[in-house]
Amino acid sequence: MALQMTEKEEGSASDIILETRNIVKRFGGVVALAGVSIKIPRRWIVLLIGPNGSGKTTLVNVITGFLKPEEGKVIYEGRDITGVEPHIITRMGIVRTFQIPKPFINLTVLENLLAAYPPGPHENPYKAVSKRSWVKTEEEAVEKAFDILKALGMERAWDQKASELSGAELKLLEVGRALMSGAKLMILDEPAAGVNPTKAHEIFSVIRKLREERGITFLIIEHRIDIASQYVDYTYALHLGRLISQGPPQKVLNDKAVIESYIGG
Amino acid sequence: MMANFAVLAEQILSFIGIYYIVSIGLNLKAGHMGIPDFGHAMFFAMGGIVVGNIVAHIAAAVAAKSVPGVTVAGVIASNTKTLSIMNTKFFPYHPLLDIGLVIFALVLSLILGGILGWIASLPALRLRGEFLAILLLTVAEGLRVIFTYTKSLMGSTPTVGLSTPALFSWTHNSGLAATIFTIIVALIVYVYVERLHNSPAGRLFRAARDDEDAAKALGKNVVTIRRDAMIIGSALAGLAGAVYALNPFLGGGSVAAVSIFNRVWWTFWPWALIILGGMASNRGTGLATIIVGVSLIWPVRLYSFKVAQVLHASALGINPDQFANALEYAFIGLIILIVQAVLPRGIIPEYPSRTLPFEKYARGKVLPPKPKEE
Repeated sequence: MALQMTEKEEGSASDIILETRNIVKRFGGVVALAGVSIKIPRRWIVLLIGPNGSGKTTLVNVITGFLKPEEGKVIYEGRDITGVEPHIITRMGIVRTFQIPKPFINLTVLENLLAAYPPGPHENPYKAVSKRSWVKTEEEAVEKAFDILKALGMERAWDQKASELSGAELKLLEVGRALMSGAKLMILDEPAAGVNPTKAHEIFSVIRKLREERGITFLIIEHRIDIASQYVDYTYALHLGRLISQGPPQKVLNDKAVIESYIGG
Repeated sequence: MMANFAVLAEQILSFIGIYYIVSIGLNLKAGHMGIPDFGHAMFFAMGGIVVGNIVAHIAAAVAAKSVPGVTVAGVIASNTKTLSIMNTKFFPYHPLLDIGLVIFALVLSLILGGILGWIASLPALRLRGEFLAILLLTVAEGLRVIFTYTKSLMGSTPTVGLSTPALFSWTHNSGLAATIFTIIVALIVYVYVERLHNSPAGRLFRAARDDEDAAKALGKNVVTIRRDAMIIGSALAGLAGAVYALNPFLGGGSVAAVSIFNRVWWTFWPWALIILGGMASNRGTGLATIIVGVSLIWPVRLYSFKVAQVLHASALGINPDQFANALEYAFIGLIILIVQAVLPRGIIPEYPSRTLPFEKYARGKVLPPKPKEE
């Protein structure tokens, strides 16, 4: 089976936001990624699946600049970003969330979002006494923060401390902070892990909504394929550092190679 | 009787003022930024040295032209004599120069405290937790020893130190003037730290403290954030040191390495105060300082030596001075224990950074608009 997007898929996905070309990453003798090429079209929700150790997180680490690949390229919006520093990649619009939420625990929900606004001179502590140095940026940030809270359905919790939030709300807060920081491509590491099915569906509904309303592209790592597959446009399956299947979720989930990879056949 | 009461009130107010300034500097580092600075006293000491050494030299250079017996070299060589001549025959008659020197002392102590804070931030960027706390504590102690025995810095007698210039003597009531001055500086510092807290920069300190990795993932430069908190917090400690040396109720007319580098007074007490008030709470630290200043610090300082006598510390072969100091340590520990048990987040727990009237935005955006009157 050719692991390429069909022509029809390519046609509807002419605008590729992120592409990896033959990424090879080794840790000593272990080959974590053995030439992985994926394409993520703009405004798509793309699912990345694979059993433990298949290389999902390594691929994300290469994309976000935390790891440098031995071979291959990462192309983002037409630019080669292979080996660029992580915080620069963040500012370019690729933002990842953590598998275990990392909120600013003593700050309120609103403060968490405001603190995620892109860094700039408004955060200079030596000028902080002069309100004029930051008030304009801050007004924009507050407007944006409340818009995002509304989109996440968290507007009523705006003044709550992060320490008082539920697990699902913390996941949404992570998404909110990523939006606040100007994400165009969000990489979510197990957004539904440790959340009950109802809440998991809510989280994925929010992801769909953000794609429709804000044009955000998503790359999602998720083990709860049953839930995730209902919401995504396209799926890549990794096994032992190789792409073993790709296509619409139902096609990939019924792929014999994918099933075998999970049950170790 | 009235006069005594007035003096006691001035002394207590001076204590509250000085402890607020020195504690709030630590609160910025330890409370807002999470840097466990156990060397806070060394930044405080910079202010004491500015007044006792640098300002005294400048004043002597001016006074040497008109006042017999005053020489620049005499500030160190015959410190007590030179300063006593200047304090009686020079400073009371040159109010403008005195005011200028006070302002100069405040500015220079801020700068020196800030520079030392910047140097101390270099390890603070690489170390965390108890490793950093111990490092800063030992650096402060090391500096204390060096300063104690460096004649050109602290004079020839380590425990006596340097007499300080009486820059409020022109008011004819140095105590009252210095008290008012101390309180005014403390109030300005309060307004400053509140404005910093309620700004995006203040919020960023607290965010980076809560989760460094998340801050980094959002593109924030945690290194410069920690550095800036060290510089500003230490500069405030330097300012406190200068105010201390200028106030006769606090410094007692002199600065010595044993007093300005005193880790109990300028590191451990500020820690106790910010824990009592609430970490990262500027208002809580203020309230804690007032409560402790009125009810504890003063009586403890006043009576711990007597308690040591009553308990016959000397009969047990213990030096009453040391015993009195040990009592003070015990009080600090007791306060921290009680607060941790009863109010683990302090008297006034940390509050959000209110940069803008958020409720107004919330009403427009997310809360239902107020129902119209029919």
